[in-house]
Amino acid sequence: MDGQERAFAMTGPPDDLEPVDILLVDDHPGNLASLEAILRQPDYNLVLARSGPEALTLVLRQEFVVILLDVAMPEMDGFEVATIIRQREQSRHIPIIFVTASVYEMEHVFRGYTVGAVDYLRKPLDPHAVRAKVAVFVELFRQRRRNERQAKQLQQAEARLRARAEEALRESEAIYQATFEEAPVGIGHASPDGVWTKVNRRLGELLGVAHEDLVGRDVAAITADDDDQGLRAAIDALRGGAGPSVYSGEHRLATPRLERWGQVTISAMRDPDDRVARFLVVVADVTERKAIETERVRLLQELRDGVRARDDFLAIAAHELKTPLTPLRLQTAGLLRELRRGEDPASLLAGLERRLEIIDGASARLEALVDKLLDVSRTSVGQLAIELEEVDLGSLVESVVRDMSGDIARSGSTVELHAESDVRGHWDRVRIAQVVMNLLSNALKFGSGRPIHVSVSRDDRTARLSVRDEGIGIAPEALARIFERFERLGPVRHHGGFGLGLWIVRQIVTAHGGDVTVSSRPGQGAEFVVVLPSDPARMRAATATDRSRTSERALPASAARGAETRGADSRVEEARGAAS
Amino acid sequence: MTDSRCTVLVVEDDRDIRESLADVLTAEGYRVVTAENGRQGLERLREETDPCIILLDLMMPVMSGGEFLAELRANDMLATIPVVVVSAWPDEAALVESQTQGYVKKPVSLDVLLELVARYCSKKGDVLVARTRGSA
Repeated sequence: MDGQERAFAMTGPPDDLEPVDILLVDDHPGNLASLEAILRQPDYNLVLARSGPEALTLVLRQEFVVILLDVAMPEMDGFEVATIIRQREQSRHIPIIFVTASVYEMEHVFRGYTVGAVDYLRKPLDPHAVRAKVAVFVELFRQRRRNERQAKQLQQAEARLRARAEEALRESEAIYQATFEEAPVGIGHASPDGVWTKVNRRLGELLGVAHEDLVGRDVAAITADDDDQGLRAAIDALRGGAGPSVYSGEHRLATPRLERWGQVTISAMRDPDDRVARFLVVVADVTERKAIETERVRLLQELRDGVRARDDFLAIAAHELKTPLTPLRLQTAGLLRELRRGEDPASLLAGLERRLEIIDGASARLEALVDKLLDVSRTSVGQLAIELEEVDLGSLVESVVRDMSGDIARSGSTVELHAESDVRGHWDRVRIAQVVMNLLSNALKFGSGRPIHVSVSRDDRTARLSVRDEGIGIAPEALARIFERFERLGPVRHHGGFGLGLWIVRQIVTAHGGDVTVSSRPGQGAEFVVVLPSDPARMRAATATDRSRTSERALPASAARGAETRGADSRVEEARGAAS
Repeated sequence: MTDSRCTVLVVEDDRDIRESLADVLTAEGYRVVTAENGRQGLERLREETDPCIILLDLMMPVMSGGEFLAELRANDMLATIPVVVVSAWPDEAALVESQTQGYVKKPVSLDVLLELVARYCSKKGDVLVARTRGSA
């Protein structure tokens, strides 16, 4: 029992037992007093009225839980009072219990009252019945109150929940918005027909346009013109729903200036009917990775080309070595054979000097070729070492031309030298002589026996050497590769040589901080121009940009690239010139 | 007295090789005529020479060995002259194999050369070594 009571005390709201107002109306003070006596209890607040009008006034002022109303009253009887109470909006719901002596009268009257709880008590009053009936209405009232309170609490709880949900939604929206806007990738929403409905700032940045301007435009148009069919097809496939619901691919983006690549991911978001409601598009900038990939492929190709060029070179080198080896072997084997056969010494001696000269010449050719090979291998290992000393370029060229008079005579060409006096600078004398020799050999070989023009001149801080022939010239496609290493051009193979002369020229000139360029047209000869800084030690720091600029002026871009890093070689090959 | 020796035509652009071939063949008793390229080679044939054999370099300026061969084989008078290619390029030699009777690789082995030449030349000078003439 104890437990039950405690349970009740705990569950019952404490305000349940707050006093309720009960109105007692009777014109006889004695009746009022007896009613009051019957109903008196702590939680009943009994209010007494001695007449109908007094009761109506009280009803206007406060809310009663129940009204006990005497029917037979002078001035205004109970029915009249009840009628007025019922007519008033704020009081029509108040239960009324009539107190009467005549039961018949009550049965008759009840039919007129259809609204609200109405009951009656018969005089003389039975205290139990009075208390029971009043208790019913009090309990009804209290129940209603409780319900109202609970409803209110529910409402409040609901409001709190709603407020919390709204707050959560606002926060989530804020997070989403921040994620959308601050993400390092381009994000956008598109309609089912592939038109942007919303895009973030980053997407605009990637495409080089204001992101607001994208809305309403075609999604496929974010890729470069030659690529948009792929993206369009992908969007169509997603909408069709036949394939997977996510597309991902790399596309070149339609950017105004810089080339930019994006990893484009498109997800189809479907409604409950499985139709595409919108597309979610994410574009990540993969330009850098793409560039690295491209560079890697380029380097690999370059390496492969280098290996192939070296193989070619070795094959050619082997052949070139065989050319002087042939007379060497023939002459020595022949002389031995004649000696052993017991040939008449006189007839042997007759041709001996000439034949020994051939052997000697062939040995010299071999030596020259071997030197050249070593030179190439040294040069390709690293930076060419140059020893600077004061050199008069005009005199140097003159002496090289003199040394090569034999080759010049054999070629049928003449060399016309125009040298300004006193073109001096600090250069490597031996290396620059090699440059002159290689360029001259080259001109002799391809000069078709026509005059060769060599000029030496001076600028403010540079010296200029030009070697021009009037021979077969160089095809434009060959011109671009002419300084590439081991480059040999098609139909000239019978001219022999390693194909390294111009490459060595480039290496030496570059080591001096200078530049070598070529201009030519097929059938109209070629001109090679070497520009050397007068003081390479001082100039070398500032070379890189100057050099590439100079190169681009005279050469196609591809050759200019070669000028920066690789140097190069020849339309040709002057080994034969040196050898014959 | 008419020179009854067998004639060898050497067509080779490299002067040292050309002269060396001439030297060793002359020492063996052959008569040697030289040309610096295919064009000169054809001129020699027109002028005088009726060689037993032609030693032919392939890569030459003005007219290459290949072009020379084509003209030679197209000429009824000259078509049957045996030709031996002397070249450092086996691949190039293989290209004209069907039109030639032999190939000597540079640098040249004297023994190989002399044996091939002897196969096509029966008549030599005072150091004649009799050999059966092979069929062309």
